[in-house]
Amino acid sequence: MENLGYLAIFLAFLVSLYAIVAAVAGKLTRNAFLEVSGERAVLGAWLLTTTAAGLLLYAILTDDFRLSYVASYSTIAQPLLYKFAAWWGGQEGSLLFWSWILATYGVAASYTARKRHPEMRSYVNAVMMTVLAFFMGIVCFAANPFKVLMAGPQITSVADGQGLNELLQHPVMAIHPPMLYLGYVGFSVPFAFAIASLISKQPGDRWINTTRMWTMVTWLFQSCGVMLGMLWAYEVLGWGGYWAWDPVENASLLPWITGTAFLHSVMMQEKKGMMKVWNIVLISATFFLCIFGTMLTRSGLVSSVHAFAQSNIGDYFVWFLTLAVAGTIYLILSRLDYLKSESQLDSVLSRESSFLFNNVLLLASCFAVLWGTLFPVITEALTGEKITVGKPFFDTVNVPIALFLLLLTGVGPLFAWRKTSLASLKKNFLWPSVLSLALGAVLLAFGMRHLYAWMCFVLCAFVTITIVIEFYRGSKVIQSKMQLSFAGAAVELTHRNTRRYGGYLVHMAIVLMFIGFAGSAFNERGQREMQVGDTLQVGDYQFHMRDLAEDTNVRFTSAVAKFDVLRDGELLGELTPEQRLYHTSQQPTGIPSVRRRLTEDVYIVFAGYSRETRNPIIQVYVNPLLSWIWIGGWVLILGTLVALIPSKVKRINPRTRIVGSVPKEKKVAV
Amino acid sequence: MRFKTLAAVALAVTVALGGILVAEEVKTSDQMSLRVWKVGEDLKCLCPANCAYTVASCNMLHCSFREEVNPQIQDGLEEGLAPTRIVEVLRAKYGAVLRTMPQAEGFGLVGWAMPFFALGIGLAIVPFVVRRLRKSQPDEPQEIAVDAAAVKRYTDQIDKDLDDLV
Repeated sequence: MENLGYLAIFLAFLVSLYAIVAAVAGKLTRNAFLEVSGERAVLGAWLLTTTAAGLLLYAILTDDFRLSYVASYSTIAQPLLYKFAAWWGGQEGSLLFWSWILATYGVAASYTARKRHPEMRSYVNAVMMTVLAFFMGIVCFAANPFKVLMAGPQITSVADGQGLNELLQHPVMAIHPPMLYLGYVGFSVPFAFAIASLISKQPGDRWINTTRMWTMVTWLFQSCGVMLGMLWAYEVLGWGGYWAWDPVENASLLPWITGTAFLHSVMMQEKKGMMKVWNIVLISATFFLCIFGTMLTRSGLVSSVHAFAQSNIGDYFVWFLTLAVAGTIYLILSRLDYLKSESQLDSVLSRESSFLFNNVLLLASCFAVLWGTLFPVITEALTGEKITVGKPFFDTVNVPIALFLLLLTGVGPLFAWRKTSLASLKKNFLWPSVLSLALGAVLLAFGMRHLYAWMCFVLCAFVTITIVIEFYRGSKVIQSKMQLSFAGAAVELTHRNTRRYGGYLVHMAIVLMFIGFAGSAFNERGQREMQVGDTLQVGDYQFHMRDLAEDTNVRFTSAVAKFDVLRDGELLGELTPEQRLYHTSQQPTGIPSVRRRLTEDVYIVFAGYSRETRNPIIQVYVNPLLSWIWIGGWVLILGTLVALIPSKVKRINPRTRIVGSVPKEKKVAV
Repeated sequence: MRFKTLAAVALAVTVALGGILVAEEVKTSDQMSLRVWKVGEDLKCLCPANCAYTVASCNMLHCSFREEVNPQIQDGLEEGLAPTRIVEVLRAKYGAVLRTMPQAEGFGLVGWAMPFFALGIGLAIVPFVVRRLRKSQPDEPQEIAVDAAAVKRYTDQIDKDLDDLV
């Protein structure tokens, strides 16, 4: 089976190479046979990659411990879900998983290109297959998941495997990597279309619509991936937080930020034919950051708790990135004549300008994260000094930028396309500003003394009011015209322009998340050694340790502490933090217990035993408003899905230009 | 006028509230464990798991580094040393790698300045881009003759579209 698996990988590599040659040669020589052959090779590459993936999964599910990969990441007792997750639990399997998703996307992109953009289809196929050939080359020659265990010249086997890291054995972790990979890999599709449009010198923007849809879907996957990563960190890692600015976490955030910038700036191209070069740069940067992120997790370039084992495949990534960036720059520079702006900016006070500022802030934030991630490497290379850049740096640099972005989230949609009059500004800004500042005064009166948190709440109120007013005004008009209920009118309004109102929902999601982020300014924490009968006070809460029970099963030995949670003497419920010691790895793992409420989470960790007294060490975190982050995540998914639904009213974006004017005094009577 | 007055009041209120907030002292807890934890926030954990956390937030049970450093922090606090002094002492002992952010001197300054420099450059470029995009516009639109019937046709079309829209 290992031979068959490797053969499938090797053939997939060769077929993807053939697809590139056939697609490009077919296009250049106008040989339709070759072009179609290249297209079928894309399907062939997918079939071969699927075969390899299927064989690896079969080996994992049947406990074939002759394979080194299976022996490293699976055990006989591992639950089925985590056996499945073992596919992407290690370096080799995850690269094959990456390649399989890429091959699947390749087939979908090839189909889309054939249907909608036949003039670009060969180039789209060539780009997708170039990326696939690179990854299959790595799987084939540097990270083969079908390697067998050898004892001298003989293939050998072990009785049981080492199993997936216990921290990764969590339902969220079974979904998080696929979501993230669907995001990472998905950005290669809009990139392929962008490059194909450059090569084929596409004058129109039809492909932009296709790209935008792909980007939105991919962005949604990436968002879900990042959110699930946060949720996993919160539920499993037991430090009371959800984001530690670890390099690998940052790697997932970087393409999300540039993808967000692209989703905004692409509207300028759709509506006004502007920012064509910029959009190509943004989507290319997003793709390169995806590759860069993949490199970060595998090369050992930076230290990370999430990184896979260090290997030499980072060198291949560096070469691939260098060549791809150089090729893209050359293409952009050589096609500048085809990327000229079709219209002008009419006013600084316009939606177009707000998009420019939005892009600058998003890219500044992206740069800050990238810079902070790489600064230890740069410092060590230039000064020889080993330093670390952690949460305090990222918070200091990113919080002001994030608040500015939050402001723009509210302000931007209030500007009209082309030009915003002063009267319109007054009308749109007055009440949101007044009401949000009034809220600020109330917060201050109630004792809020944290500057950034205060600003965040005021801005959240501002953005919320602007969004509510937008929905309210539109819904009222429809309600009066169509005699609908207000809720029905709001649905009708959204259906008429799903993109706009779906976008507002996503903005609302961001507001909800920021409320959750701001809550961290008021976190409280306590820690002490405890015995049964002891009580720990943190904030308004009392935690009374009622019981400590031990248990053992085939996978682990556990100790569960039972706590009564009280506030002002009133019993609120029970929390049961647990500590497990897995038999296979002998790694102690704390399983936090969380009481979630909209106002605050109470989070208890069984942190271990005191070395001197052998008493349990208990850590308690009170995290205000944290649940709003997850609620924001759900609203973000809803908003993006709404934006993906086709609008009831079909819109076209005719390019308008001023050809002349009629003086005011010569009013035309109609 | 009403708008200007309200805007001025709003600005004044914002500045006043911001001033109060900045001037407010941060409340500190007396609990020793919390004080130790807060000092640990400024120290990078050097545990064998190669984690990206601070001494305070490292999730590793029995983290060897945390168990080594926390008693030293507690001793320092009990001796009456300021948290910043304790951090300095520990950094002198374990090296600069204990830092959680670049120093505000030497090459570390580049680390701090670069993101803000990039932001500044970006914000400075926006007006330039706006001006460039506006420059290509014709100086003054030409006065043109407008056929009243055509205007009526377009006005009707706009009304119809607006009716369809809402």
